Amino acid sequence: MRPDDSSLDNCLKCSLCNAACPMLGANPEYPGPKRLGPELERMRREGVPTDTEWLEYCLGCHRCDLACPHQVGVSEMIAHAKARHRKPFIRAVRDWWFARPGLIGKLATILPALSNFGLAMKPARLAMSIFMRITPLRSFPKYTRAKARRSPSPAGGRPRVLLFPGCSIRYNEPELGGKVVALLERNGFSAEVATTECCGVPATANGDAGVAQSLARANVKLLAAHVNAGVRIVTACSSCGHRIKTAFGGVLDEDKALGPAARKIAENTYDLAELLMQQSDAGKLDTGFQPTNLRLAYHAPCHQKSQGIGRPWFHLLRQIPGVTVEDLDAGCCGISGTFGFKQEKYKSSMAVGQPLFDGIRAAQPEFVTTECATCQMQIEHGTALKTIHPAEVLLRAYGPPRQQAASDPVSQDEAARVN
Amino acid sequence: MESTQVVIIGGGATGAGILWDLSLRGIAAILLEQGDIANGATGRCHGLLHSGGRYAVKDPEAARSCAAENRIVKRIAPHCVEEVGGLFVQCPKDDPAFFEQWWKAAEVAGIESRRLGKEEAHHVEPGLAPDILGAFTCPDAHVDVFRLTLANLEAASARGGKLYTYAKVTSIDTADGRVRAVNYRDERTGERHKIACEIAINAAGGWAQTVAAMAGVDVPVRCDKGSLLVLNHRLSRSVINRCRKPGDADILVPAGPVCILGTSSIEVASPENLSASAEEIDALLRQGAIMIPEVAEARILRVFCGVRPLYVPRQTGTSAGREISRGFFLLDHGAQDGVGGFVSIVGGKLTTYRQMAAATSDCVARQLGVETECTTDTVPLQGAVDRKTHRLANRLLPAPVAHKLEIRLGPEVARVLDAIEARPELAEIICDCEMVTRAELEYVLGSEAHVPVQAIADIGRRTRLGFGPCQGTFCGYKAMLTAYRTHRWTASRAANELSAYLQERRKGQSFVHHGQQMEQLDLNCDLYGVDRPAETHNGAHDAK
Amino acid sequence: MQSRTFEVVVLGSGIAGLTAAATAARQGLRVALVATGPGSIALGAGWLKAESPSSSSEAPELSEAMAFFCELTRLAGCPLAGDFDHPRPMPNYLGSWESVAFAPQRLWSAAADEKVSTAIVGIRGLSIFDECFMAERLNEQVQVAGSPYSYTARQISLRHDFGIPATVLQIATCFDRDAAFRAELIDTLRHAASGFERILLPGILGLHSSDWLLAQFEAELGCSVCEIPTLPPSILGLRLFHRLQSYLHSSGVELFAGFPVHSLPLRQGMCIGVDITAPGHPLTLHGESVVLATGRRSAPLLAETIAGCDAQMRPLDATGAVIAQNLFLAGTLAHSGGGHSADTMRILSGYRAGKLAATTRGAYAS
Repeated sequence: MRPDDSSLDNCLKCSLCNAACPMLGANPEYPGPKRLGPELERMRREGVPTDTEWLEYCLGCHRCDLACPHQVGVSEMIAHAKARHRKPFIRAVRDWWFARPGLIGKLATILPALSNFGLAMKPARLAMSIFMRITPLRSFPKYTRAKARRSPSPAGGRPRVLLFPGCSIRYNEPELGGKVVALLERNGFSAEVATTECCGVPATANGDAGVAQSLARANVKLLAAHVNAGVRIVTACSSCGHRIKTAFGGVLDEDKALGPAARKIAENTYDLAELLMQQSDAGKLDTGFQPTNLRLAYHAPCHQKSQGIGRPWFHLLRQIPGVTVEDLDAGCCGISGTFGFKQEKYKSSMAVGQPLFDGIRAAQPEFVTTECATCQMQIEHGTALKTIHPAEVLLRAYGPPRQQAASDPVSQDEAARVN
Repeated sequence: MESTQVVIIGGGATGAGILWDLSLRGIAAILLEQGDIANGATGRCHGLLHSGGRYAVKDPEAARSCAAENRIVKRIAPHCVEEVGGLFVQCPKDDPAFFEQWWKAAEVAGIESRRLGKEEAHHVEPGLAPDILGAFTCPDAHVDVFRLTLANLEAASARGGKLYTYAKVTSIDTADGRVRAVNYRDERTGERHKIACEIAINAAGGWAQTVAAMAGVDVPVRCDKGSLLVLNHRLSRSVINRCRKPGDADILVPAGPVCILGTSSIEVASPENLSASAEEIDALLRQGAIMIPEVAEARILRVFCGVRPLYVPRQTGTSAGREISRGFFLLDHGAQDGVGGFVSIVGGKLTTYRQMAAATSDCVARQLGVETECTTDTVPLQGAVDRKTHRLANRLLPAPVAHKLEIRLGPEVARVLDAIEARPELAEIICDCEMVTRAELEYVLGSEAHVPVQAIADIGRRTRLGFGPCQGTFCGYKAMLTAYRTHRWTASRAANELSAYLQERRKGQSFVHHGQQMEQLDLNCDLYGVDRPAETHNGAHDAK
Repeated sequence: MQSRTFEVVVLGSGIAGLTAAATAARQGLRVALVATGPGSIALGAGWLKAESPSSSSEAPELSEAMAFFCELTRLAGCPLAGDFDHPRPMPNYLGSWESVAFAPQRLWSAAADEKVSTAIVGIRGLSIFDECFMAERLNEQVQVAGSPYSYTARQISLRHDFGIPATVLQIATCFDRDAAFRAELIDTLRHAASGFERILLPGILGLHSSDWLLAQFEAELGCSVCEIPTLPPSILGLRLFHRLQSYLHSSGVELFAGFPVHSLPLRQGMCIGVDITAPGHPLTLHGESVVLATGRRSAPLLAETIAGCDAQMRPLDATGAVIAQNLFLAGTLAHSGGGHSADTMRILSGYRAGKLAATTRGAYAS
């Protein structure tokens, strides 16, 4: 956000942002987006001390922005304030790490089996709880080293897309990256997986503007040439997608060299479902689905809603004969990436997600499908139901797996059910 | 019938300053003000504590007074002053010779100033228009006009000074060539009262001519209207002045969370029923944008008009409002008009209020045979807050709330904090735009308040409640409920007070003819079920 | 079937837009509703500002539109009822009576002409509502009218910690989520207001509550209970909006909420698309007909200024020519006189525009 951004003037104090805020609904003492955003922003410009620990409780879900009838950039103002927020030492150290999932991923995937073992050990979790205030109640995602990537098949006149994998695919589930490529190739694209840095959402969420900027610069340099050559960027994780579409959260707005490049990349970035839906609209989607008896509940991640693309996964999944999809539309899951791992935030995180958990229980689906890896973690943690990425559902529905990783335990279960 | 030594007519900065000065000298005085506090020019100006730079070239005497008084006010009332500093900027269109003249004149007048080149000026003030060529710094500041007036009144009241607000002077009794008593009407109840006095001081500003006539004296005052715009958030770090011969819209003052842009100069017949036309407002924005381009797109919260009460002695020919000396005049009507015990203090500006009050008090003290000298230049108007209290405030309240509460209440904040500890619900923030707590509200509504609150707008002047973007839409309602509870207004009176308050708040917004405030006003009207006020640009609207 | 092509696209989800979308959806058409905010009903008291039909010729269509709207609210679980000829006095947050012709069924028992003993119950810590103020105000006016039934103020305390201050938003959210809280509330109210035939509360009984749920609540409480509106965030207003929006969503209307429309490109007198500003690249929707119900201060979306509308609700330029054949105005835009527009008039124009949009679909231009 530019320091002289004037959307602050659009605020009419109607409190609709507060009515939409999932944290306010769960935690009565939270001041709410109206206060932390436009009201404190006015005070900040006055030069009055405004820092508050409550800034750390903003989930960055953007629901306040969507609810505002007058386009006040509420969450941007709060993110800006977070960058100037001072934390006590232990939290500052912890959040330093949480701002860098890319770094954690790189370190953990040197010896992934050892890392996974260590991160799951009770004494280690106890130590993390005491010295870093990381809640022992959640499991960390498992790290795995990416398998040797097959070289991309020749484009042969097909439109080219580049998958921005995000930290989850890159360090935790690289096989999902392969599946996304397979899905894209099946539907008329030539696709490959890029090697990129973390998109920077956790950095901004943890108030580290410096890291957010350097990650953005690195990513812009990696992607610019592709975009200039007419390649479109596609994301399978909605947080990465929203981030890139907003030119990396605007952190390079003042950069005369890279700012325009970031904006061009933003214009040429598509959510995976958005791209597939375009194919579907043009009659080019491979609809050779096998009848699949499946009752799903779809949870749209907050960063999917904030992209303004409608609900393409919902529409795509419904095209599979035999699949029923219920759109849960039950609010934010509450994990907000690294937020839910923080000890002092854990309770709020679960309280925010309670309506979603209740909604899932009421819907009684066989699986919950959602495209955000951390939403998946939260849902599995809060309901003990299994979650699956919608891309996987689509791919499986195409029939006998041609390119699936046979060693994936979940996929074996699923394959057994489907066939 | 009440009697006292001195009656002061007018509760602006000057009148309040006189009450304080006289109370320090042990002279019994009663101040009468027809509205709440700072009803006239004091409450309707930029709130600029002049460094004197504006007068350096044309009126070096005024510049010198301002420079000296600027330093004094900062010393005696630091809690009322935001030391934001000021710049005199050189616009490409303006006369470069004047720019150089200013530099020399500032030195002669004793105004501390540094010369900034183009790059440094933009570094210090990033919002400046890119074509600004350079600037001079100066010790301009923002002074909270209500806080300053209140500070004088409260300090005076603690020392025995008395005051009545909503007390409109109706006539002055004279006998044997002397003023004997002043008659006033309580505007809230309609009751009439008389105060016997030895001396009456006419510090009525724009109404000085009317008041003087009550004693059979002619004091010709010309009312020169200026319109000002309140912009929603700060657009500059310091006061921005245009370095040229004083003209329209060449001052932008940061004032708390808002900034104030003005002003114009139009002669009007009376200080009442003022209004601002759309053309006037557009002209102010155009001119302001020359210095700070963001002004053009800024949200205007309200438009208000004030009157410069300019004393034009009969001998002088008529001339433009700004040309007349901004120096002040102390008129001893005993000496010059044969009406003893009657003194008028006219002209001047807010920055030199203390000097005006001192001159008046010296004259009055002499007449009463009191030999105590003036000490208002050194006695502080409010004490400082100790560290323990400061820490407690920050423990009990969010940072911005604590900060503002300390500034507004000074050492009294300790009492309010005790109240919050005893009753935690008092920490509730009633006015979200300006961070006013329920505790502060109850404090100003309380019976120990030196200057009692009669209306919701009075609460605003003491706390800034309703001064933000919502203009009282949300906080006015809660303030009403608080006053109902604690002040023990009847419910019916409370509801009427709120309606009257919101109606008054709407008028100033109705002049705004573009931008987000129009929607804010729509919302207010929708919520309270009233129609938008008809926008009239020439008369019939009291614009603040 | 293209995911971004619709038979009717409605811009604006104020009361006019919601009505237009519902009208078109009832005809079985594919409807999209694009909006950045809920309009004034979400900030209001949950009842409609009504204006009697200005001309006798308008009366039958207005009747029909109101009947449609009331049926819509019934299906949505928040039934409105009333008629123009029998307005009743309802209490507002100033404790004054407002003459109301159409209100949620459930709120009618708050009307002043109900001759029953009433407790006005406030909640400790909920500073936006003062039961003593309300009772005193309503009593004054009741005495003036000569009725023997007075209002008695009562206050309850809730165990739940809602912070300082408690807000209607927090209480309503808790009401929505927590059945135990609802039970506690019933219990506490029963004790505080035993012996009264009617309880008036501030609007706190949930942001999403259906009429059925509120009927249950009332039945368990054992006496009539209704809510008095508060300043925004208005639970009553939000509840009406949420229920209407949810109903449209479940009827298949596709919602695009939170993104402003950037422009409505025209070609040869037809609106060929709706460009929505979304992160990265715009979202373009195609509607065979487009209803414009974006409100009195909406940014201009067309190249020409709208100077009025014709009998078919289509926008006219300054020369009186139709700007686009498949574009229809609704709400305050359709009353280009500006100023105040009653909700009933907005419903009428929404109804008309919705019907016209549904039936006079232009040839689709891709």
